[in-house]
Amino acid sequence: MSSDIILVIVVATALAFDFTNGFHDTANVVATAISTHAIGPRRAVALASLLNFVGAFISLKVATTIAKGFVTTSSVTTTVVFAGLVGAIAWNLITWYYGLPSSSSHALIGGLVGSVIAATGTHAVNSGGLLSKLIVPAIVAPLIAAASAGIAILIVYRIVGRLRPGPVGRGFRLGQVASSSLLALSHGTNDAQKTMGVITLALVASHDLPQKGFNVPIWVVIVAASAISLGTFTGGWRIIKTMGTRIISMDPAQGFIAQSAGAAVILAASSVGYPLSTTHVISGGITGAGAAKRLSAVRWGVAGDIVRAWVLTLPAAGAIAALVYTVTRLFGTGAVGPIVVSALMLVALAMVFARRLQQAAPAASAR
Amino acid sequence: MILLASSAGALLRMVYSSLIASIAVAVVFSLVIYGAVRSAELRRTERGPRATALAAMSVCGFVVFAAMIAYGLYLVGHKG
Repeated sequence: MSSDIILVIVVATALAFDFTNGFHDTANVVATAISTHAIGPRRAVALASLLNFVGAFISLKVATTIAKGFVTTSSVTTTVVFAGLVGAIAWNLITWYYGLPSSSSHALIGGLVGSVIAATGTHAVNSGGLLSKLIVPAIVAPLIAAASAGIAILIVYRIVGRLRPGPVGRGFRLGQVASSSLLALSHGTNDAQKTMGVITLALVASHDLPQKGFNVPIWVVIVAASAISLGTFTGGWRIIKTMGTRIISMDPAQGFIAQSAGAAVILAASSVGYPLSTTHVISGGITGAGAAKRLSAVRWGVAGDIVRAWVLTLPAAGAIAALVYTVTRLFGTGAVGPIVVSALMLVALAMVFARRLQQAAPAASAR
Repeated sequence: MILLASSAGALLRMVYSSLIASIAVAVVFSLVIYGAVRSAELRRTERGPRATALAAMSVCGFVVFAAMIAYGLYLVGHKG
């Protein structure tokens, strides 16, 4: 009975994480299209939300990597998964509060690794998998997005550079509707799978799935797709602003190229099972498209803040998760610990949102 | 070591396929725009055959652009 309660709490927390992932990450998928006026904000977010849902059904390879690739499955308990999720959610909300586009995926994996280390020690962590499937792709992917966006924008300017800017801009704005749709689809494909992987891991830990040869159940795919889609539809405007206007001021061609490069990298990564950060990749694409035109077009200070948030994500989410695991275990191995921590988290969430609303109200009245 | 070697292969595949795809999509879509804009300009100056050829290039480019996206999605779904 107690393990069933913990499993329910874990699934609910995983879906809450998925919601915050949509809330935090997915909006930046459409930021470039909004900033170049290719598509209106509400329509863009609604389209991204729908395509996130559809994208979640395309592939399950990333979910398998999350469930098997980073920690020893036998060392995972439902409490470990719970603590990892709380660590990731807490870090997502901290970075959301300060408007920093950090990686939800790395927060999730950092959280899981941190709670596993707190529970059983470092031997349960698959450091080879962590290095080859997470850290190296995390470094390479934004660089590839930047390089391909940079090369592509130079070629594009050579092809269309002598034409009248009006019709060319209109053409690329139309293209941006397609490229942001593709990016939203690829985001659903990569990001929704992370939650599927975590829920699957919890089902394995609670012996509802076998330890070897398990598959992601279809109900997990449907609920994860729905949660990320709903999160996308609900929020993320602060990060849209950072991604869409603060790194560079974009023209429609740069927006199209940044999104196409981002989508290509994420889809290629999904096909080999790498859980990439959409935020990392699209930031790389935006920076590459801007820097190729003019190095000074990139606001390197903002880009530096984003890099600092990325570097902090794995250890910070891991440390929070380890702390949460330790606090949860103070109440024993039953359901009391997760219930108390969930209640505390809800109170903290309410306080953060209330504070944010209080800050937003004077700003709105000042305008 | 074996794990790292197999991951290097996957990483390499991700790198070259995303590079090729993003540059190819950008080039093809630029040709679509080039064909459409130039064809409209030439039509105004009454250079019919060249305008028609550019319009045809634009339409073909659009079909290739759509096909590339569809093929990319098929590959991800098929392999994933």
